[in-house]
Order: sequence, then C-alpha cells, then structure tokens
Amino acid sequence: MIFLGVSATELAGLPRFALTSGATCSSCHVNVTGGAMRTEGGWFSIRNVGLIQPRNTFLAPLYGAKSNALFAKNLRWGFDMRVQVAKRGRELKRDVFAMQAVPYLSFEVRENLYLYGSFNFVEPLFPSQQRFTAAVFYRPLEKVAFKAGFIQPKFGIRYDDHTVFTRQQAQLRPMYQELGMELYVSPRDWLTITGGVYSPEHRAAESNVPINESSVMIGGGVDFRPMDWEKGLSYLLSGSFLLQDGQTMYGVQAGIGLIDEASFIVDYVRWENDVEGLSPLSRSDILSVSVSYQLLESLVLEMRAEQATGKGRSERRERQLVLGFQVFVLPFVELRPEYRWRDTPEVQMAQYTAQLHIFY
Amino acid sequence: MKNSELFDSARREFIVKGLGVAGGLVLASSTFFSACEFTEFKSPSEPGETNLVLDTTTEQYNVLAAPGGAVAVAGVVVIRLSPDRASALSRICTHQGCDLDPNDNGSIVGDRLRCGCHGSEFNTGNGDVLKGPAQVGLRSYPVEIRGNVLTVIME
Repeated sequence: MIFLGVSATELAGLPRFALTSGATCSSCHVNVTGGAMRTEGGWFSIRNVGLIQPRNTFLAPLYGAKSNALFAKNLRWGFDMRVQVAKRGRELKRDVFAMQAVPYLSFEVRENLYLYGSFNFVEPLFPSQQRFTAAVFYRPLEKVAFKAGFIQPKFGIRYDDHTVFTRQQAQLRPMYQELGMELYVSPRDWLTITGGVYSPEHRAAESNVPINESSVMIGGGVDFRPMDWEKGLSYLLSGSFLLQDGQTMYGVQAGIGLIDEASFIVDYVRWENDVEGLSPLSRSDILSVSVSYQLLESLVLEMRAEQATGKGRSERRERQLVLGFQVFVLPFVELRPEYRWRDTPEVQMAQYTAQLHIFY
Repeated sequence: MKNSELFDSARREFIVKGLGVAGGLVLASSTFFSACEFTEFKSPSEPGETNLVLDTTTEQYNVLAAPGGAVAVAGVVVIRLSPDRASALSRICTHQGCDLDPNDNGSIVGDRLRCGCHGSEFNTGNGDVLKGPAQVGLRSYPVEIRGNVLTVIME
C-alpha cells in the first residue's frame, strides 16, 4: 500500500496516471487541470520515485530538500526541462534539441488561492506557443474552482507527449496559451463540468485567421470519473468542445484503469473549419488509442496507435505507432526511450528516439 | 565501519547499479530499435535539372496567364505574380516535406504560400519563410516570360 500512497498523489496530472491511481489532478498540482507545478503534497509524494534511490549515495546532498518551498512556505518553485534525440527536419537527420526549459513559481496568497507564473527559455516553434504563463488559480469552495490569466484552454485530456495526434494535429501545442478564464464545478466526486471564455488571438495567429476585437473563443466540457475501489478499477468518460470563428473542435475520451497496474484510453477529436485559406482540409478526424502498464513503480511500458484523416480540397491520412518506456532513473529524472513508426503522404519512417526529462 | 567507508561503499553500489541499468536500457533499446529504423520518402519529387517550358495557351497551364494563377509542375510551384513577373518555388515544404501544390495540400492567400500540414508560410515571390514552424525558405528558380510562354530556369 506504500506504492498506492505514492502513486495516488504523484503523477495524477495526466489522465493515464489518474486512471491508475484514482486521484484527481488537483491532489498534487497547483493547476486544477494538472501541470508541472506541484503543491507541497505533490512534490513530497514524488521525491522518492526512482529506480535508483540517491539517499545513501554521493547524490544524497542533491536530494536533501524537505519541500519545494522557496524562502517562505507559501512561495514554491519548480522546473521542467526536456531534451530529445530524434530525426527531424526535411532531411530527417538525427538531432539533439531542447524541447523546453521552464522554471515555475507559485505564491499561495491564502488557502486555495495561487498566483502562478513560468517562463520558457527555449524559443517557441509555433506562433500559438507563448513563453510566459501568468495565472490565478482559486478554489473558493470545495466543489468550485476558477482559473484566469494566460492559460491553455481546457480541451480533451492532457498528455506528457508533444506528438500525440489529438493535440498536435488539433494545434493544441505545449505552451499554447490564451488570455481567458475557466470555471470548474464538481457537484459530485466523479463529475466535473467546465466552461471557459478565451481570446482567440494566438490560435488565430497560428492559423492566419483574421479576427476582430470582439471575437471570443468559448470552450467547455464534462468529465465523468467514477471509481470502483473494490474491484480496483477507475473509469473516465469525457467530452469537450472549443468554438472559434469558423472553426469547431470537439472531442470524446474514454478510459479504464486498473489501479497501480494499467490504463487504456481512447481519444477522438474532430476539427472542422470553413475559413478559406486556413487549410485544404475542411474536416479532420483524429483517433488515438493508448495503453500503459506499470512494470515497476518507476518503470512504465507505453504503447500508442494513432490515425488522423483529413477531408476537403485534398485528403490526407497519417498514422503513428509509438512503443516505449518511461523510466524514472532517479527521483525527478526520467528517461523515455521510444520506437516510433510514422506513415504520412510524404514519408514512411521508423526511428528510435530518447527523451531526457528533468523536473522538480 | 567509518563514515567515509560507508560512503564509498554506497557510492560504488550506486555507480554499479546506475551504470548497469542505464547501460542495459541504452544498449538494448538502441540495438533493437536501430535495426528497425528506416526512412522511405514518397511524393513529391525534388525539382529536376531540366528547364520547364509552360505554354499558357494550353489547357494545362492556362491558369498561369493571369496574375494569381498557380500550378504545380514536376518539383516546383509556378506562380504568376503579375503580368510581367512569375516565380517558381520548390514544392516541398522545408519543415516536414509536405507537398505545397496549391491545388492540393498548399494554399495561396495574398503573397503567402501556406503548407496545409503544419501551417508554415512562404513568400510567393522569393520563397522566404514568413511563418514557422519551417526555419528555411523554399528554393527559388528564375522564370522568364516571353509572350504566352513561361520558362523556369532549372539549370
């Protein structure tokens, strides 16, 4: 049960981990929808997750911190750095490149009221990605939470992989932010209803869609998260939408988790647009199926199969298969070796990649 | 046992375990995965080395008779910019190699040639990158206009 105690609070910011732990994102994260910045409880629970325990080694001094507080108890810090080795570019040459290097700060003004900010030192690649994040997270009541500032609109479910089709092809990239606000209401433990209003500015910049000053983007969704503790099962059923001038996106996700062992998630997104010149595709259907199996607390096997099909002036079909491991070599140090096969109208390729992820 | 000996013992144990785990993972995964790596490019083809002669009185190329017309030929996109000016750009997006054929995956909006895959945009006149994720511009080829005939100089 020690394992359950650890895993239940550590990585639940991701639905895959939420399904195998039965916990909610806000159990450990400052942001109610998850994210790198952890509360003290979230930080504490992950500090011992690693194949190698540094306690009795020369690395012990690096792991001596008693919390993630900085100077004062209500000021917390963290960071998330990712470096990857993969083939990329038109020539598909192997390259080592930084994906992100983001320090975080959060200030707990009073109980359940956080000010949060981050900065990415790696130059964003896409116009919708922003270097700064600045937001307020507030939970005035146990069943009500509020988020405002530069935030990523809630749509679908989070992944810890930037290439998942349902995020990448739908242009919901990591570090994508809009000025907006979101409200979360949880009338039951297993039910959360979300609604939000955002500026469409950054997404429009990426799509090259002209917007007027009164344009707004609206989004919302419903998450069902029933649990069956007796059988050790957790479930996920989620539906969400995002509406922007001329563009409609909606998604449905379903998942089942075997506590402490495995998860299975199906994620479907449909993106429709009638903006001339935005894309030769007027409709895209994106499907992702992912499976995870925890071999050890710090060693997870992952598989994912995806397909994106586009219809319109032209037609496209892309498929991807990913097989890999998530290895927490040391606490706060993760290695992710993967084998990736991809088939597009331009190229069919298979490669191995590796990602080094250091976080705190 | 002294503290320093304890430290050395723990250090040795850590190094052995660490190297074992990391080495095993790297070796096993890279050996297996390297053997299964491959890359097979499909369409479109790279631009050739023979000049392209396009007669705008023919049905195939008549869209090039008027400004704004564009057509993909062999490995290039030919765009009629004005009555006395045309451009020819590689039709392979420099980001991920998608086809920029304006009648298929590409789009021309104003002076921008946009890739339908990931949204990169290039100047229709010279191929310069106007918007990422592409980092490198499209190769541009000179075009001569004589009467109704456009010649793309590929040599």
